[in-house]
Amino acid sequence: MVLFFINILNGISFGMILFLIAIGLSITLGVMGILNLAHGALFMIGGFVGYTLVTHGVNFWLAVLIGGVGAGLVGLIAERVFLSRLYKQFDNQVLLTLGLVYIIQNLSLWIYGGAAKSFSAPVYLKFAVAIGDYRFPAYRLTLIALGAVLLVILWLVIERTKLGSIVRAGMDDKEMAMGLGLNYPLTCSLVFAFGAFVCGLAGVLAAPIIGVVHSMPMEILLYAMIVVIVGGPGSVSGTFLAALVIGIVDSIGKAYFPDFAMFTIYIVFIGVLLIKPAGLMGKKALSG
Amino acid sequence: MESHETEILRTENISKSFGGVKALSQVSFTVMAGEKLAVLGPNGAGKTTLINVINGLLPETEGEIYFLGDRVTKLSTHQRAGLGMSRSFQVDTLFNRLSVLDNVLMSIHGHHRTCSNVFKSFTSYGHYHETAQVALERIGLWEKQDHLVGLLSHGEKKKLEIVTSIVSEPRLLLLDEPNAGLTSEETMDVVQVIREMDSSTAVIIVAHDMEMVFSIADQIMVLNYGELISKDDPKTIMSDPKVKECYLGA
Amino acid sequence: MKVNDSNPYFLKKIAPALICVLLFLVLPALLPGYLQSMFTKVLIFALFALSLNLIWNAHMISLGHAAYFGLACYVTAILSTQHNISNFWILLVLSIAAAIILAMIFGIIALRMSGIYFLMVTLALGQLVFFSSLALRSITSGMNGLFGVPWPELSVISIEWQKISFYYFTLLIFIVCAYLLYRVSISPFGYALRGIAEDEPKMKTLGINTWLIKYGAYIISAAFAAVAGVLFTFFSGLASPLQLSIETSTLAVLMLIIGSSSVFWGPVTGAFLVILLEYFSSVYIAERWPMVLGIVFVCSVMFLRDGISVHIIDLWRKWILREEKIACE
Repeated sequence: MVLFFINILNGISFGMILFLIAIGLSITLGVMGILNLAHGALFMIGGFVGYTLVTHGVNFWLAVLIGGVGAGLVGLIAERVFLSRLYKQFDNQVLLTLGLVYIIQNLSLWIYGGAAKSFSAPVYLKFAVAIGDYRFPAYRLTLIALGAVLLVILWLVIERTKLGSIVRAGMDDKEMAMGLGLNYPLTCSLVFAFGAFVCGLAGVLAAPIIGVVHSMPMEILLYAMIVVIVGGPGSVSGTFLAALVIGIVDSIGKAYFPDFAMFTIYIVFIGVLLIKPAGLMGKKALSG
Repeated sequence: MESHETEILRTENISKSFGGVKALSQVSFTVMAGEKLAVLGPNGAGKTTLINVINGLLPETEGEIYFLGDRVTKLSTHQRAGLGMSRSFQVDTLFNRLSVLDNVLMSIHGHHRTCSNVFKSFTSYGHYHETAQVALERIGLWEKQDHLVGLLSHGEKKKLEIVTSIVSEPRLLLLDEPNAGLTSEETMDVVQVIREMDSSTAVIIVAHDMEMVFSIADQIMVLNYGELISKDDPKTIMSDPKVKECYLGA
Repeated sequence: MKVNDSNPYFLKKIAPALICVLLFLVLPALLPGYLQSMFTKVLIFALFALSLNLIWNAHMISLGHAAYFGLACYVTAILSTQHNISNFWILLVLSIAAAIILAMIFGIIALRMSGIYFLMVTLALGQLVFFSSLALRSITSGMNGLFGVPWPELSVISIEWQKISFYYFTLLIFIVCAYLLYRVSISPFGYALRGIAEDEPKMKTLGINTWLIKYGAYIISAAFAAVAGVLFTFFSGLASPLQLSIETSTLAVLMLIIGSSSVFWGPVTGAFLVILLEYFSSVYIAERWPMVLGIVFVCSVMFLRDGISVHIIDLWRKWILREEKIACE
């Protein structure tokens, strides 16, 4: 029983990472209708930046921040230079973001080589907490705490601030949002960059557990997309709920059916699609 | 020969809500064969919503719809079209990359249910061309059959839009602002086409142009804030105080 | 669009056909073996991209189509290496059947959504098949894949297979399939599909069951992707998870987009370009090939909108045909 609980905790900590990855995708998809297939690459950029910094002695949390900033910058440039001109052109968005993935992935292979890189969590978190007969890594507990904090911050920003209401209004009515007098394109770029930033953070935070490797971008993108669809695009609570569900299901799957772990997620995914295509918290039917 | 007593459409307590907003509220009415019903009302009264609900593009929140005596409330749009319901759209929905003729052929293919055919070529159905020719000659567009729709004038597009909904020989024709932006001459063409509809067909027209309405409508129905204010023949409607109120108050 | 139609029939119809004949029929016979292989690969992926274009133009953007391509590869490889079936036609029919069955299931799930979301779902479903191939290690040899697929038997004639004879065989199959896909695109079904992409509600009001048409198109497209997969298995002699991967799906998508999805033969141009680039990069900068590809695509989005085939047609009209365009929109 305790082991089961441990697996749940594992799932929740993974779910927090998933939340950080998916929230950027969810909002840019919901607000700007942009499909960014390079989202997983942003995660990896964060991870590699963090790796380079930590292995050169930089403080872990600083590395987390800078990794996020690095990913955020790449995201900002991609949006300003390329994506902003491709509004509603799905073909070109796909081509462009895939092209970026190819470039980033190959660049990473060139710089860092093919083997997965990893680095350790800060020393003071390298202990384990006793739960029953088992021990649970303190670092993962930290991730859970961080995720919860970020959820609260994001929720407050989106639901309670002016910026948030503009973003939400933009989700429903672009023209009206523009009429509110704010520089809407700039807001879009910042929102996009913020989503990239958070994703990059996740990349560094997850590295001590899953490492960083050049083949990550599409894998991560897939997880992100499943979470976004299951939770319903544009919904912070939906993304969070879905991230937890997927994280837990994935953990349980890996613990009890290791060969078929991926399938457990897909069962949830397909189940949601067949029963409630708009997602757990989604409101409208999804048509891009 | 259908008598005027055949009921084409009957709605019972149709309501439609979007979140908290009630777009339609308990709308009930009947349209008989040969009848031409004009739907009037201020902007936002729910006229296009009503058409969309009858047509099946929007599901109603409450209420029932009967078409030719059969309950169609649960049927999809294409099923209702198959039973003989046709509509035109306010903003033209012509296929810009196709020619005038091809646009009409598309409607005919839809009507004859030949769209699932992968073997023959789209343009090889001889008898469809004949039907299309008749329809296009009526609105004077047969000479322009090969023109891309994008090259037509606004008036020509509107007329073509209507023709694509008539060519399927519908029992119920729903026209959403068929003469928006047309000159009075073009409007007369449209009026002529509507007048020539078979007496077994019913027509429901959403319109703002009172002159056109008076030249065709047998009945006028007035909506305001989603509610049916009044449905009667034109003379009675014009002297109805409730109708005056909803236009003055809007 | 009205054109100044004073060009001789030769230029308009015969010349392009002649170019194709020279390029695909005559040229390969004169080339060294490895370039003949390149042409074969071009045709295989061109077919794959053409099959994808059928649904692409209906705004059904599938990023998981390698599932059908790869499934056909595995069916062919398993049956020929483990069950001694070497007849091409039997393997072809069985592979297509497998792809159709899978497409019937996936189609129901994926068509719950449209546009961007359809793309995401097809991506996920494609990955599902990918992971399945890894999990079912006993049949598929997991990551290693299956090797040693022998040349097929045609039962109509017996052939001593070589690179060049397989190339012409592939060309034959390609022409038949391309012609069939062309027929579909000019049929009422094809027109309906494009109509649905432009205005689905309108199509519904015309009495057309739009869901069924989209579903049918998805299945047909899977069937043709499977044909490409069968050809690939014989071409390369193997079936591996790579054929089921996102990489293969995205490669087809990229060929389609860069070649012009709005032109019927666009995907062929795209396939030609991409594989040509691949072959030359592999000689000089093998490891940086994906980066080169990425840069090409980013540049084509920024500078060559709508794909190259549209521009080729434009240039052909301007320079060779000297047509004067009367402004249209």
